[in-house]
Amino acid sequence: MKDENEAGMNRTGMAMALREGRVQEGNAWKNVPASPGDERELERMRAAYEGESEPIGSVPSPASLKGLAKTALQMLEGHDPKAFIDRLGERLAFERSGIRLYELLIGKHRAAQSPTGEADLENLIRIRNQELAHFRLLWDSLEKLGADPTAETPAADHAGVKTMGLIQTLSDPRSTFYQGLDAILIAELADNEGWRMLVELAEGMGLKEMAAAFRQANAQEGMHLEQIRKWWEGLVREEAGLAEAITA
Amino acid sequence: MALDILREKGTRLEDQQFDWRDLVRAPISKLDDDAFTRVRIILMNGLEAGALRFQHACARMNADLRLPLARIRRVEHFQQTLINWLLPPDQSALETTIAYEQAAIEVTAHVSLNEPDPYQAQVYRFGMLEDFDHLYRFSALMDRLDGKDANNILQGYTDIRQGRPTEVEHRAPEDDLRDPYLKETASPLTKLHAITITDAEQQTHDYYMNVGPQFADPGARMLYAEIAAIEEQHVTQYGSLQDPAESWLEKWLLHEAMEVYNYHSCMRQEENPRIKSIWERFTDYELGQLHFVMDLMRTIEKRDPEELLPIELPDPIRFESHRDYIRETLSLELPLRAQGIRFITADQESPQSPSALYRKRLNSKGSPSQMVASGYRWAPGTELRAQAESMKLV
Repeated sequence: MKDENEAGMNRTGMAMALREGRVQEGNAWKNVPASPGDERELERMRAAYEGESEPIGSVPSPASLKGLAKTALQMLEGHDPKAFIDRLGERLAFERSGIRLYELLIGKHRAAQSPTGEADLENLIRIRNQELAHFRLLWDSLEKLGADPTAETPAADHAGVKTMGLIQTLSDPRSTFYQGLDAILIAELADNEGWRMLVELAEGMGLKEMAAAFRQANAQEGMHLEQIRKWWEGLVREEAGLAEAITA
Repeated sequence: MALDILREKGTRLEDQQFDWRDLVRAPISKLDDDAFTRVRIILMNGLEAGALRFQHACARMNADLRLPLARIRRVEHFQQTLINWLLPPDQSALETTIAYEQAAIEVTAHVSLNEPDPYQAQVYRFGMLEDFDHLYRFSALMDRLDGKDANNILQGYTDIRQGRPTEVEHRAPEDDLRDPYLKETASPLTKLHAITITDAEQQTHDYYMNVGPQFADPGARMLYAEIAAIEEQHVTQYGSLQDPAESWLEKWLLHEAMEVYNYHSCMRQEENPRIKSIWERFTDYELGQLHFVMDLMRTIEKRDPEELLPIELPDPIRFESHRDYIRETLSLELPLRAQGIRFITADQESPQSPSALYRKRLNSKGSPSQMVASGYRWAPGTELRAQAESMKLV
């Protein structure tokens, strides 16, 4: 069984190179030339690129689906749907990747190579399936608005970039169940905030039915977060040897 | 309009200059630019990488060419930088991989359709069906690891379905060599094709070798290891299509002509004006480099380079979907295997043949490409869409 807290030969710190480390530090601060200027140079260069850069992409226009667009535009009562569609696309991408993240965590639970604490397979699978249902809800909502659920919106693209680190953590065979849970916690925290805003946006646009369905999904996400946080806290305490103290 | 490469002198080598802001430009949009803009960027990056690789090898073997090679190579290096840096950072390594396979499939499809030598055309079709399978395997991986749809990259131009299964593509080295064209009789287009596809495949191999270990997932690490091995075989295959009797200078000249041809093809079809201007500029740079090498050939080898080059460039490479042609090729040539330089059908391959034994040993603990794509069928919006369909709504 894996234990990431086992003491070993970690060589990254200065303390592991007692003599050479001191020489190295001294050499960097002696009378040696350094590159002129300060770290603001980098900021100025970045600002120049920001000034020249186009956005990463556009939200596909719902008007491209003509038959549906009319109904959708009526539903939206004159609101510009682009930002809303972008957010829906983001949640859809995030939920879909979230399903895969949970599958990776379920795999770690089944492989049983590290402590899983209070986490149980049945609940993990239930959460994974609820994420799948949320994905379906978002897909259907986009279709109702006359938008293309297969399109990758800019916010969906950003979501993909942000999720990459979580996938790397969870798909690494060296990471423990706890480390996977830690990654899932980030996903659930972001997901909760995302759903909260979706409810508000749907309400603001007068999409009552959609807002009600989103509220229900948001409530489920709240339960996911609560559950994950509980398992996560339990494992942190267990590893720190505080489990009994807390229980007592 | 045809380009007269013998008359058009392009930009003089000494005027081919860069600065860092010129080299590091705003990238293309992963979401809004056409998939073939990305394909062109990948292809041209590969051809520039091939130019550098060839020119380094040439310099090791030819003392008198070292200085002119170093001068041209410096420009080729910067051309490659400018082009490769056009790829956007929100395009993950796996998404870039999908685009690499799309480039391999569609460009090889065009080449096989337009190759005048029937044997060489057969070789391209043979390789194309293998790259086609790689696209299917990587798409499955992206769906199942990241929850992402490969078609967001492919934009509906290229099918995602099984080709010649990757697990049977593993061959013994002796079955990867092919019969070369003969320099005296081969059409110039045959030569340009062989260099283009060899370079493209070599960059794919090198890309997979670099990004493979960046994945945490063992499935991804195994799949990249397996498909990189096939790309290595493809470089062996396509590299052997070229006549080894060509002189170093002759090969260099043809490489420059190939670059002109490809940049010109890109220029003719590019819709993004910002990128089109790069293809125009580099067509002119390559013409300048070609004429520089033509002069070297006249002075060093005392040969007339015009005899080796087409007066007019062949029709440009068509960057477009070859869906119907690929389906037809799949239906006719899927079961082909290689035996020496010949192609045979799967039932003609003896279980004791070098390739059958080689394959058996490599796959003896399972095949990553089979495992990753087990039961996989692409659907718009990923395979999770079908699962979600059958679920009760919240």
